[in-house]
Amino acid sequence: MDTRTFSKLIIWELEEYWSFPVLELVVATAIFSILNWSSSFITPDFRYLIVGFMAFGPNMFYIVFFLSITTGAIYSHIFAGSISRGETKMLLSYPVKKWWLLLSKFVTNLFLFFIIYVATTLVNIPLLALNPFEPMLYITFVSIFLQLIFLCSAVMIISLLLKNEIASILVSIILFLGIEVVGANNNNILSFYVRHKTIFNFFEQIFHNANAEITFQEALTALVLPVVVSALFLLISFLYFDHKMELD
Amino acid sequence: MVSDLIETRSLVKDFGSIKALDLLDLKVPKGISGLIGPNGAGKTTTINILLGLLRPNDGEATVFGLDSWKESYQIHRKVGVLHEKTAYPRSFTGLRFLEYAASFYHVRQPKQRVKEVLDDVELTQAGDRQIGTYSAGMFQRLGLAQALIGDPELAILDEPTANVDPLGRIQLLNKIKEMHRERGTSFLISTHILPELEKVCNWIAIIDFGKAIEQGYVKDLAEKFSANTYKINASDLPLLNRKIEKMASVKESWIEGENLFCKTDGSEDFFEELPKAVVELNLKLRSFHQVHNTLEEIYESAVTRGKG
Repeated sequence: MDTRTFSKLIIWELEEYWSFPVLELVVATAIFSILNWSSSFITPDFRYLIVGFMAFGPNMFYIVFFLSITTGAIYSHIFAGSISRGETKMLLSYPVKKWWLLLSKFVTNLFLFFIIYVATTLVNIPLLALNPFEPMLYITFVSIFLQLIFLCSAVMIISLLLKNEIASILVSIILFLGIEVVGANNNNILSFYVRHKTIFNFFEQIFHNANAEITFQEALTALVLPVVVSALFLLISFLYFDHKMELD
Repeated sequence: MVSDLIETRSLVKDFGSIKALDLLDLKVPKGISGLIGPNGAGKTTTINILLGLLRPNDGEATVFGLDSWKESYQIHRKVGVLHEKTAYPRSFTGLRFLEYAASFYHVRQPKQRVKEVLDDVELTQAGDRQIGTYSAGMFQRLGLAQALIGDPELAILDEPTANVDPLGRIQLLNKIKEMHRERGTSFLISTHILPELEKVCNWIAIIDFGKAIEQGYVKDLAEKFSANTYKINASDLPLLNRKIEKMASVKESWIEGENLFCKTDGSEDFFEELPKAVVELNLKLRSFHQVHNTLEEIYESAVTRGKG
């Protein structure tokens, strides 16, 4: 792999990220969804649970809702928008391999998205007097990261197939919210709410001796499922983009 | 050894029920070449296939002897492209964007090269301005700059003079000629503005309904399409015209300005009959030569004949 070109593509993507409206939208929605935790009741003895309120309280709604909407909108803008605007066509007219472009876009935006989300979450540490060394905080980050990988890979494949920003935004958001609503109501592992609850409760048993009765197998399934599904989506996306997809 | 720069063999491309290319055969040599044809003729589709952005339904397309779909990366290393519809990052400055383009081509001294191409397209003053603030003409110049930044062996330019002012067009065409002369860069230019193309191109292909209805060196095509048409300047044109009209080898004759034009059936008889007539009428024959059509006339004839 030509690392120089690949790193240039990543820097290109980073520079593009700073232009309106991508960064502004991510930061605004992340702040909004994270700060909503502050409205919840905190018991001094269980301050670590503030992070886990996502799993227990009504604030989970904000996380799921905004994570789905922002990922659907921004990733559609980055992938489908870039195709429909002609930017992908322009970049692929340079000596740039198709899969480098796709990988650079995916990786850069996934990590930036996650870093912004984590950064705004960290704002809550002093605001809510949380313990920054609380392991449950980092378990929550892992859970969000896995959900982000799943959402990003799903939006990527939708964007590549539809090649239309608006259609991709609508399909992604409706799909994510649909999965979440149906999954959560049926206590299905497909729902982020259910998966996060499983992961959180399992580690809570380990770190805080809580009695949630989550087995190792259940926790492992919750951790591995988004990774496997994302890997599958990524593989399909790369094969399709590299071998099949045309840019008119 | 590859003699033709670009070759397509029985290229077919469908977009649903629309046949964009219908058994297109092209053999583009090195040099400055033009791709002309009416809107929707298949010019941009051809370019997109040559760049590996579209996959043909059938047939084959090669650039430098490389398969356009399977070996597009290798092709892009030698080719600079200006697309008809461009999407440069509006938040970048022109300078920054060109630095990226230079790095993709692994240009050794990118900053120096960026300065050179900005100078070449007369965009130096606007180099540090955001692309979003550029006028349509500046946008087009930037497009040309990014196409040339990698010092390509072949530059494919889709409507390069669109939105460029008349003076800018002349400069741009001169730049193309200069690059070809000094660096040996070949160009494939798709445009609707034929008089401009005529100034720079030595080879053209006329595409209509997805087929190449005519292709070849401009000089050869000019001869082919104006064959048997002659321009005569003599002392008494009306008298000579009356005489010429009666010749069996002459199909048509007319006076236009200071000259007499006539179309013959192509037989050698005319070359015997005309001098005899001039002597017989005691006229002074000032000039006599075959008419070479302009690119517009060639295009019109080819398209009309294609439709017929």
